[in-house]
Amino acid sequence: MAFKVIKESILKYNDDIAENIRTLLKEKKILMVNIISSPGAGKTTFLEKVGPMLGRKGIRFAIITGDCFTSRDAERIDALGLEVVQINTGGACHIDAALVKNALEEINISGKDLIIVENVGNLVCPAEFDIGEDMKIAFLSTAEGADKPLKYPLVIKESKLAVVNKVDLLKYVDFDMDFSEKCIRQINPGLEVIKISCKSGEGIERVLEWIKNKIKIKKENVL
Amino acid sequence: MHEIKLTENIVAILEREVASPEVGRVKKVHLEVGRLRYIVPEIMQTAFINIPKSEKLEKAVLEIKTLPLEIKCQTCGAVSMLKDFRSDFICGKCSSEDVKIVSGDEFNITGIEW
Repeated sequence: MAFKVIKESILKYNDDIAENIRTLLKEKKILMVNIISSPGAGKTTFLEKVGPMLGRKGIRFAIITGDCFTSRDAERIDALGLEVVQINTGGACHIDAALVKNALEEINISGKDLIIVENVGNLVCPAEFDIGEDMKIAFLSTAEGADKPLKYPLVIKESKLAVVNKVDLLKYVDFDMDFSEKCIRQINPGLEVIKISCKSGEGIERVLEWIKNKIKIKKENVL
Repeated sequence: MHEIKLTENIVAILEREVASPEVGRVKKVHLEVGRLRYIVPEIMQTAFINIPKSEKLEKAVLEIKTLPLEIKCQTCGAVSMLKDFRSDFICGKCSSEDVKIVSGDEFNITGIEW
């Protein structure tokens, strides 16, 4: 029997590309956020709502949206006249750094303040793959179980913000907000939680302010 | 599901390693995977069987060693083992919250046997 010691990280290929993206965005002082949720939590609806508002605030941005097969999400965003690039993963359950690198090449990134990546709807795999983002945003909704944070702890642990969407449904569903927040704090004690409704607009302004603040910090180059 | 993509990465690394003439037909591939990686070894092993590989790798199997989640206290220096992510991230000795993960996020190919 012969043995060869290797010691190589399985994610090295992905992580090297992610690091290149991070260096590029640092140089250009562009903030990149990676929005992760389960399917149907409202990521695309959130972007439809928040996109025009960002524009009115003078923030220059582009959206990269991931989907297994279709371009439905990109079409919805494109219909609003926002800059969007579709990534089709061909069935893969997450976006990886190489896909983001290609998408960034399709965007004229000079002069941009913000890149928003809408990951494939999935709370497990996207949390594993570094795509060179500054921060992950865990995007939950009241139409899901309140215990989702406990069932998918990695995404909660890795995120810098948790958004809970569809609070307009609270009076119709059995979602226990206090319990959900407790679950979040158990995994990531300092994580900020913002409750929103894309339907009524509640809380959206707070998320905008949060993003705006992060852009400011990035520009000041202390991130 | 991410096991499939990750296993493709493993095969790509292995193909590079076995290209060297001194390496024979590989019997075992050793991996170390931390508990935080959420890898289901059975899925990864099945994925590995199903991904097309060169002759030298055809009969190889994955031997996956799971490494525990351990934290080191930055206050008293004690190392504690945690069950998983849902455990409270506090020092088992002095209850300090100022802890660092020292093991649990590994994800490496450590060697091949032939």
